[in-house]
Amino acid sequence: MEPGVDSSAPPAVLVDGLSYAYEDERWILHEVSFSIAAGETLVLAGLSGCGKTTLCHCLTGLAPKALGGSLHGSVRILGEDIAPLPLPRISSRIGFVFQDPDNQMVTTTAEDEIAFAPENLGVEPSEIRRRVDRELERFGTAHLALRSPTTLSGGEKHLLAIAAVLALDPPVLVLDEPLAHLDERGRSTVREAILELQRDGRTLIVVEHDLTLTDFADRYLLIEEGRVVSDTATPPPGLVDPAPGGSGGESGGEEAL
Amino acid sequence: MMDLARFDPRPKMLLVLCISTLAVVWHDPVWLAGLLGSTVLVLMLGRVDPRSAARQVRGVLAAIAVLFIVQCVFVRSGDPLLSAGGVTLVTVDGVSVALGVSLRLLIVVCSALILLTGEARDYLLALVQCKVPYELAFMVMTAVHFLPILRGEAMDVYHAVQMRGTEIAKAGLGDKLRVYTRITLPIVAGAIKRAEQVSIAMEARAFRATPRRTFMRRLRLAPRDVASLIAVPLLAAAALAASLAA
Amino acid sequence: MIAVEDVSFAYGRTEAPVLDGFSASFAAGAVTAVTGGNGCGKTTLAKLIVGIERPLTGRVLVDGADIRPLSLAEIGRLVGCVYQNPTHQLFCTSVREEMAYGLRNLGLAEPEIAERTGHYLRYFDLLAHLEDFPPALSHGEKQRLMLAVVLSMRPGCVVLDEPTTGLDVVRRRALGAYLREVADDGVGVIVVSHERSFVARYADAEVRMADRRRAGSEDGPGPAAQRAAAGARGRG
Repeated sequence: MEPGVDSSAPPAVLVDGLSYAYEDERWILHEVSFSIAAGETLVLAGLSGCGKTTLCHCLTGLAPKALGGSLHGSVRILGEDIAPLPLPRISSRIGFVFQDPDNQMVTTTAEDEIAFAPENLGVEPSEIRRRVDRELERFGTAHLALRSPTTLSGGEKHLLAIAAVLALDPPVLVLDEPLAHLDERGRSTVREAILELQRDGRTLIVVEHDLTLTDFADRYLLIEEGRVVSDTATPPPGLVDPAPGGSGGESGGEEAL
Repeated sequence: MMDLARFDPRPKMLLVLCISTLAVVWHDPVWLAGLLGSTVLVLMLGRVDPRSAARQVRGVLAAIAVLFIVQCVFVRSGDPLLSAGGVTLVTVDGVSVALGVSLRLLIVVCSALILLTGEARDYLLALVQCKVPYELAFMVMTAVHFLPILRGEAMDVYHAVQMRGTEIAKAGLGDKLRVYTRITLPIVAGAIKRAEQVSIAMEARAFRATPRRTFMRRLRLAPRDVASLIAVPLLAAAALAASLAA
Repeated sequence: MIAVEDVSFAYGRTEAPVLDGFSASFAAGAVTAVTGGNGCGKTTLAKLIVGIERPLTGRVLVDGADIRPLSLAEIGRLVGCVYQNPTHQLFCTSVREEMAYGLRNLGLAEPEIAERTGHYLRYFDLLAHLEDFPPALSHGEKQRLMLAVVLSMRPGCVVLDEPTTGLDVVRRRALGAYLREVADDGVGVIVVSHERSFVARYADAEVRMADRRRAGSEDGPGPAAQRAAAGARGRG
């Protein structure tokens, strides 16, 4: 068993027979079932359009509560079925970091961004201040506290998005393509943050389609057309982009038009 | 001490409200000039950066010039001031109205400069502490926040249309309008999509989850703020009374 | 063939220059990558080549002619451009209209327009979307549509800004294959990208933006170079 993963405790995430269709009756997920142990890092892999992001929406309750549609099956976070819970209660159990931080930032300073969720929940002001300071310290971003989010670099924006979600202290985090859109410097910044979250004992679900970047994963769940196709400890072949100058390694890749 | 940036947003908002009221009520260019002078004095005492102020004013100078000429030409009442060949070009009333309009525009720009000395986050708190519903104040802030982003996107589309062979600069007014309508399509589609995504992200962060929202920071009125909250409306009322008596 | 000569550029009058005495050249019939981290001037260079920005000093030459006196529309006939977010380049109400717009501006007759539309949409696997509303397409489809639009206007050169963003591994390989075919047809392809594996696999040459003063131009291990250096060790 991987270090840091507690297999005797109940699973942090338990998905059973999950099927989901959007409002227009198109079924995206079909009978998805899997579990994630506390402290484990799972990578959701698959090509564009396979349902990875929809699965994330279901895990965090956004589908169907904010997005509509119909959901069959169940999602249990830390042993509790999230279906009867309102979204704000779910956010303190499982947090969702969106793919595009620009669509998540709604305030004018980094510290206000982190304070946003606790303020919405009516948390006591000095406690909010404490959490903001804690999150600014976590990734070493205290010097960005009064900066406007729009002036931050790509990597810094991602860190801020993660910090804003951590303000509610969820033990489980979903990260939607955290390494996309970033250059090498940004990617190493975010990778460091992910490693820090792992050291902290959080359960992580990371969506990525380029698996060369995901060596921090404990497990890989391959999704194809809304179904779980494989559940492995090593990256599924065909989704790893070989290193430059490497020996071809075009494993499994037919060139689709 | 009088540094505008160090004042609470509320006395600044009240100051601008009083200035605007007087600017609307007064028509006499002499009083309006006095109002503009006082506003500029506030800006100078308040340590507003003269260079950035000059830049803002320069931006509207063209509009002011155009408005001035238009008003002169179209207001024909009163004694003639300038004639050529028996035709009255400009009248006294025309110049008076033109001056009034120009002065008002300058007053508006200077009022904006007063407000710009504050931070958006402080205005949001100020509005909320003045009992404006949080959602309303927040919506205004969000709109202001996304405006420059939308503007950037509009520029992208503007360039894209040209790169497909449309010469906008040489086009006639009708063609120009048609191009601008084309540009609105992707901007509006993009704005709607973004609004959807932002609102879902906000719901995930418990926006409007409970009516008892708290705030990490709280604005407190310093003695200078209280003093201005009292002095400004008194001065404005006195000026108004004086103008009515005159 | 595009040449950038001794170009300097800054965004504001008081801002530090993004490019300072920069020179580079881009050959026709080849894929040239422009690489470097974010903030080092890659996108600025692309904007200068395409004419969206004009250099403060220096010249941008397309086939030997300075583009400074040309309008954006005139440059658009010579150099095509695909933004990182193609959503902002699509402004018609159907895919068919989108393809026809530029071709009409070129003065082509309707039968010719229909023929080119069919040809390029078929190549990029978009014929099924002929009547669709462009904003409703997926990111990958929009990108292929922009490529179709740009290539159908038959420019001598195409500039793509971070085209691998948002594409999964399979679609990236497909994109690389398209670009190589386009280059083999004689069109100059310029790809601004921070994706090292993509650049290594598909680029013939590379312009590195690390140093703004001069181009660190060198050959990449793309197919053309690999054929020439058969048996030699690839650059790692």
